[in-house]
This record gives sequence, C-alpha cells and structure tokens, in this order.
Amino acid sequence: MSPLVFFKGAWNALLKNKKRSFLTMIGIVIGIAAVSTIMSIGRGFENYVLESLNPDEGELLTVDIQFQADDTDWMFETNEDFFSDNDLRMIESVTGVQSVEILSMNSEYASFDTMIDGKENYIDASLIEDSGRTVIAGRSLDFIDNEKENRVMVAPYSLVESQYETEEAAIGKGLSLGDQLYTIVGIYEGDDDASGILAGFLPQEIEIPKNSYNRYHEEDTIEDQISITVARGSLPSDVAEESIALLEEEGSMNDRGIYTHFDMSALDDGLSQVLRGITLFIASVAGISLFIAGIGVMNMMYISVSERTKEIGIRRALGASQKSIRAQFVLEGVMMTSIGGILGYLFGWLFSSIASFFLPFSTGLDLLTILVSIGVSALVGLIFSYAPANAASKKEIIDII
Amino acid sequence: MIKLEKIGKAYKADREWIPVLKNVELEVNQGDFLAIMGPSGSGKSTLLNLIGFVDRNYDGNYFLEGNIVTSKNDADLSKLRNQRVGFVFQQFNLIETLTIEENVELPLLYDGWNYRQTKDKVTELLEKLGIGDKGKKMPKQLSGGQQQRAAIARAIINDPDFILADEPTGALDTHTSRDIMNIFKQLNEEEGVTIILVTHDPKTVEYCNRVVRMQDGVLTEEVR
Repeated sequence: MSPLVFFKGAWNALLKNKKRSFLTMIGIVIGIAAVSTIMSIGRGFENYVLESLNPDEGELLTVDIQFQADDTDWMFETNEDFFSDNDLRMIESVTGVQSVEILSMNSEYASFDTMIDGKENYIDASLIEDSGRTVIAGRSLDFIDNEKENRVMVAPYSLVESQYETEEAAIGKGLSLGDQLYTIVGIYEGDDDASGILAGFLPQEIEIPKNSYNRYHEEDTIEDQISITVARGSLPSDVAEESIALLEEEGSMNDRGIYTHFDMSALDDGLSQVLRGITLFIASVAGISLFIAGIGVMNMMYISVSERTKEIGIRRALGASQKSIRAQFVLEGVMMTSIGGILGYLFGWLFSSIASFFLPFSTGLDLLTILVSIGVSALVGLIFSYAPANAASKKEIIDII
Repeated sequence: MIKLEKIGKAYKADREWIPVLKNVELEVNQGDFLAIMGPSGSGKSTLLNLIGFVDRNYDGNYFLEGNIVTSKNDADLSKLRNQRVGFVFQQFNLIETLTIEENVELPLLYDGWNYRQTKDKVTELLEKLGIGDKGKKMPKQLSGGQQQRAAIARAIINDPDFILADEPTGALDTHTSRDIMNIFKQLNEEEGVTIILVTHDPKTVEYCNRVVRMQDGVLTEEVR
C-alpha cells in the first residue's frame, strides 16, 4: 500500500468517530500545551540571558579556564605545560569558540621571596616596559632597561631602610629576587600607608623591567589558565562547560588535576530560580497528563479494534497482511496524538505569549519547541497504540468472516 | 489449477479431536463453475477457507498451479488472497464506513496501486455490473442485490484466478438471486473466470457445470 493510502485510511477512520477522537485528544492537548509553554518561556529566557551576557555590539566576552593540580607542589615544580597545543586546538573546535590563548599569569605584576637583613620578605614587583615612577634618589627605570633586560630595580625606601641609613646609600646595592641578583638604581618614597601601622603586613612594591623578568624568571611563572574568546551568539557558560568537559575527557593533564572556571552567568539569579520551580511543576503536570492521555488513546484503540473486528477480517480477506493491519491502527493512533500535539502547541504558544506580558523578555515561535511538541505527541501515539494494533493484526480471519 | 491432496482437518473440543475434513481430494480446472453442496456443519465452509488461503492449519497438500502453498507465511498468503482469489459472501461484507467505490478499490490499494490509478478501473467495473451510479453511496443505502453486485465487483477487480462464493444468494430473494447467478454465469462463460460456489440451494446448482457433495467431512463428486 502506498503511504498516501494509509494516511487517507487513518484520517477517514478518525473522522468517523469525531467526538471520540476529540475527547481522547484532550489529554494530549493539555500535556503538549504545558510542554510547549514552558519550552517557549525557557527559550525566551535563554535568549534574554544570552542577549544580556553577549550583546551584539562591543567587545567579545572571554571566559577563563584554570587548571588546578591535585598535587600543588608538583604544579610549582614541573616544567610541563598544563595546556598543550593539542588542548588548545581541541577547544578551538568547540562551537562558540572564537579563539583560545594561554594566559601568561602576572603579566603586570610578579611576586618574589627575598632575604632582607636576615628576614624573609614577600614583595610584589610591577613589571615596567618603559618609564617607571619618579624617584627621590638615583634614577627611574626606562625603556632601555627593558630593551637590554637589565637586572635593575626601583625600590621604596621603606623596604631597605633597615639596611641603609639614607636613600642614597642604597643606590648601587644589590638585592636578590628569587635566585637573581638585582641592582637598586632608584629609591622612591613609600606610601604613607606603607610606613604606618600596616607597614609590616603590606607587601612592598618594587619595579623591575618586564623583559628582565621574562628572561630570568620565566620558568617560575605558572601558566595554569587559558582564556577563551566567545563568539557572538553563544553563552559563555555553555562554552566553558563544554570546553571543561572536553578537557576532562581528553585534556593532556586530565589525570593530574581538575579544570575549573568562574561562572559569571546570571542564570542563578532570582528570576531563574522562580522559572526553574515553575518548569518543574509544569513538566510534572505535562508528564502525568501525557501518560493519562496515552492510556486514553490505548483504551480508545482497543475499543476501536473490537468494534471493527469485522472490517479487519474483510480487509484481511482482500489481501491485507498482518503488518499492514498493524500499521493502519498504529497510524491512526499516531495521527490522532499528532493532531493533539499541534493543537497543544498552538495553545502553548498562546499561553507563553500571554505570559511574556508579565516577564521581562519575549517568547516567540521556535522550531525546537514545534519539533518537540509534535515528536513527543507522535511518540505517545506510537507507544500506546502499538499493543491494540498488534492485537488487531493477530485476529484470526476465520473467526471473523 | 487447484489441486488438493489428502486434506484433513480436525477441531479440538473437550480433549477430543473432531474431524471436519477427511482425506479430501479435489481438482479444480481453469474455467470450472464448481458447486460445493452439503448441509450446514458438513465442513464446506472450512474447505472454502482453506482454498481461499485463509486457513493454514490443516494436513495434506495444496497445490496452486503446481506450486505448494501449504507452508507459506502470512505475508505470502495475504498476497495470494489479494491477487489470486476473490471472495463473495452471503452477508456481502462490504465495509460500512466506506463508500461503494472505496470498498471496490480496496484490493487494488493492497496491491500497491494509488488513488489516481484505481479510479477508472473502479468506475468501469461498477458500470459493467449495472451499479455505475452508486459509486459514491454508502453500502447501507443500497439494496441487497446492489450490495452483492458491489461485492462481486470487489472480488473481480484484481482479475483473480478464481472466485470463492459462500452462499452468495443466501440473503437475497428469488428474483435477485437469479440476477446474481446470471452475473456469475456470464463471468464464467464470457471471461472464463473460475468460480467455486458453496451453496445448499439446488436452484443455484443449475448454473454450475460441476457439483461436489460434502457429507460429514467427506467429499464426493457427482457425475452428471
């Protein structure tokens, strides 16, 4: 039999029992209306979040993914790359990723342990590319220091006042940063705060040329972060989650530690909490409604089969195989629930349009919602009419005619 | 064309096997107009179902054009029913929710035709059987004779090898019976259609050229 013949046959059978078909359909309509309402609102909300997180204009957003080893000591000692070139290429293939780069940590600042006057000090260093701050003794850093990678520094007097009586005395003296010896070429006056009561707690900030730092301390930096630039139209949190999933699966360090990212999406604010509650409620209403509707379809199909026992026998005598009888009844069930699904979608569209008046975002026609509505309703029809259809096909022709 | 060899069949009732067909041997040739006569319960309807590829549970061999059909599966038997045989029943057995045209075209649809192809053939056949104006009517709107004509149209639309008619005049008055039997006679003589008729009405037997009798599951041919 050609498909058109099947469709027409099923359609006619439904029309013959308009009232019964319609009543059976109501459950499906309610269920699908609930599903499509909540899906439309959900999609509308998602677009709204996307829109606010990743507007059409302005700078592209970035998300950072950090690698954290289980063994932190190892992490500081190893020379291995935490993100291999392979990892980067893998992430570049994720949808919504514009570009990926390894973040050089501390690109503006660095920190060192140093011994001053027998005491261990923790100091921060600004990395200077051209001219540094003005000094009260010696000279400022300039771009030549940077070009030549000179191991020179400008320090606040507060840092060295325990060793040298005047600012001038400190000029030309050495100070070790990490395992490198730097020459003090300038002294500046520390902040007022730094000489106050907090002085002992505040890190002392010195200045060194950036290139010198890169040259002599490169191995000390920990490149444990990558920055992903997110293409327009994609949610940063989605991109980050997908990238992390990929890294955990196949990343070069996946057995050494974990990958994390800071979730900056607004999905966790109050609106989404409320929406999540409503979604759960409506989803359970939809589920129960679809299940009951399915039972209704099954019931109606069984009645229909027994009413049409004679018709089945005649069709079998005229050459219908068991398969085509089964297909006919399944198609009737599927067609009925699909029509219910379409009606349900239209209702859902109406409800979500009304709901959007009270929400800060709009809902609209959405292909995915349409497909899900029709797909789910057809599936309900298929599942619940299969058994009656099978019973119809198994009827003995001899008993019927 | 049809050859039955040692066909036997029994029903199980109360742990006892009750035989319905006993060693039935029958040969039907192209162009035969065969009547199977016998009282009710003699097994003639069982035999008819068997010949019409409806019943598959029996002993013995059934050959159609030299090919054995005894152990075929449902899909194959359905195809045989569709293409090789046309059924005509006592109660017409038209599908009441379909129009006459839709009823008549059903065998063609199950044979894989589409609606555009069937239309002309159906109209032509209804015309030929004298109910050309009734195509759009529902079966209930037609008289018994007209319904049986429609049923005959449905039986022959696929140009089957033979027609199985199970008391086709049982529900009709004498006059209409005669009309229907004349249609069969005409099909048999003018178009060479093989007809197997189950009946217990002696008047209809007069139209046939062979008569077999069924008594307690035993088949005997009457020599004329």
